[in-house]
Amino acid sequence: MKDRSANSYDLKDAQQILATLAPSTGTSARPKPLADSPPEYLRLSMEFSAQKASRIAVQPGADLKTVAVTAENNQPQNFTTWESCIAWCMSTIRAEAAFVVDSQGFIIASRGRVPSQGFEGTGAELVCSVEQLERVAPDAGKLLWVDLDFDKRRVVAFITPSESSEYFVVGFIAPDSAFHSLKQHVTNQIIDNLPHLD
Amino acid sequence: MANIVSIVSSKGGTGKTTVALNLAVALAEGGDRVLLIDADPLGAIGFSLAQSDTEWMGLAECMMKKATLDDTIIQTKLPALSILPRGRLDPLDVAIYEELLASSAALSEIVSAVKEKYRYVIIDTPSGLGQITRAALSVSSYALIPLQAEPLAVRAISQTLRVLQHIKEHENSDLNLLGILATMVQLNKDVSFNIMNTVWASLDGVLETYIPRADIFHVASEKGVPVAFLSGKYPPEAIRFELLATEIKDIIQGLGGVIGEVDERPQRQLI
Repeated sequence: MKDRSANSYDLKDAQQILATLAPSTGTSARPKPLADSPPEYLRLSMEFSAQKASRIAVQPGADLKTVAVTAENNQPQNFTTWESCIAWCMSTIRAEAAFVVDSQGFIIASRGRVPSQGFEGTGAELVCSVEQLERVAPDAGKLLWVDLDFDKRRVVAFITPSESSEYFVVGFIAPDSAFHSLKQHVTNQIIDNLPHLD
Repeated sequence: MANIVSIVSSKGGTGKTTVALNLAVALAEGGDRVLLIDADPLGAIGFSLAQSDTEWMGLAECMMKKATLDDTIIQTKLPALSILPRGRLDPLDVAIYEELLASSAALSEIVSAVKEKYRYVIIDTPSGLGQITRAALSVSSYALIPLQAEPLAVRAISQTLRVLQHIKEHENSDLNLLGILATMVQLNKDVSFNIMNTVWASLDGVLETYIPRADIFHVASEKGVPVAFLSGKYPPEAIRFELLATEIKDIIQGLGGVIGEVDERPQRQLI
């Protein structure tokens, strides 16, 4: 026999929304719509600052231009300086700022919205962290990328692979949400150009 | 003027692509000119028609201005049905594709360019309520929600409706709910039967037509054709989509949409 008893589905919200979506007949009073933000929902869009939101948003009208830039950026690049390299990286992953630090912890290039305290501290801490982070998974090979999600912004860094103890850390501040899909491309471009970079 | 219908669902696996494809075929077989747009980054329409991932140019190339609409819209062997495929999108670029499609005016421009040429534009969207689904809803006049007759789908229906309500109130006041279409229904199974009882009793807007779970959809998918195009006896599932097309036309007409020529006939004498 079929069980037609009460079920476990809470369809109150769905019923209320459907009532608001029904075409108006002009005579019947429309039910009061649900509050825009029911308390049980976490509105991530409200959590982000307006500054962050405006940075992430692609401006209307500039979209196809951005597409063109992205397409150009897919071509192999030839860099002779770290400055030109991080400039290209920043435009590709739309980061707010970028820097390069050597394995001694010295900043050798920076670009973009540099914080008042500079990148010295960030760069030095990243260099110190590389060795420790590699201990997390000793059999996983050399550490290539560090991706840190802080509550205000994301900081990511690429560690250039090297046989010796000399390496560079290329840091990016607040790359955009499409960053992950471009990671491999950025990796390849930096590694390909590494022998010529000054 | 075309009726723009987005097929949307927060949950995956509800049969959006199957509904989009077979509904488009049913409408076109009825004589209406139909454009089926594959806005799903997966390119599920192409896969349903057994095409490889890089077979067709489409939406991606149009958006990048690498091809025109005329170059990319495919005229099918069904004269009234055309398809705008997803395009040769690199799977690694899906995140960029989603962001660009949502933030640019590409979809809106495409719809504007074709709406005088077709009676129906069906947009197949990806699962979930992300940027592409919202972009599709923002340019649509109607939304059709496939609801898989199983518990998780019923529990998630409010999510889809909430986004629909938000888009209608804040972005596109012309958007109407066409209906909730129960799919993969198995009335001989207790769970499915109870769910259908629940949704029919509890929710407004559930369409009378429903789509049963049937192996023939897998057979059609394997052969890369809509169910109506399989050889042999005309399948009852294809008739379901004809009924769905008729029901949808009635709803659109009731909502003030244009459905083209109505099948009006003079009174006749039988004897």
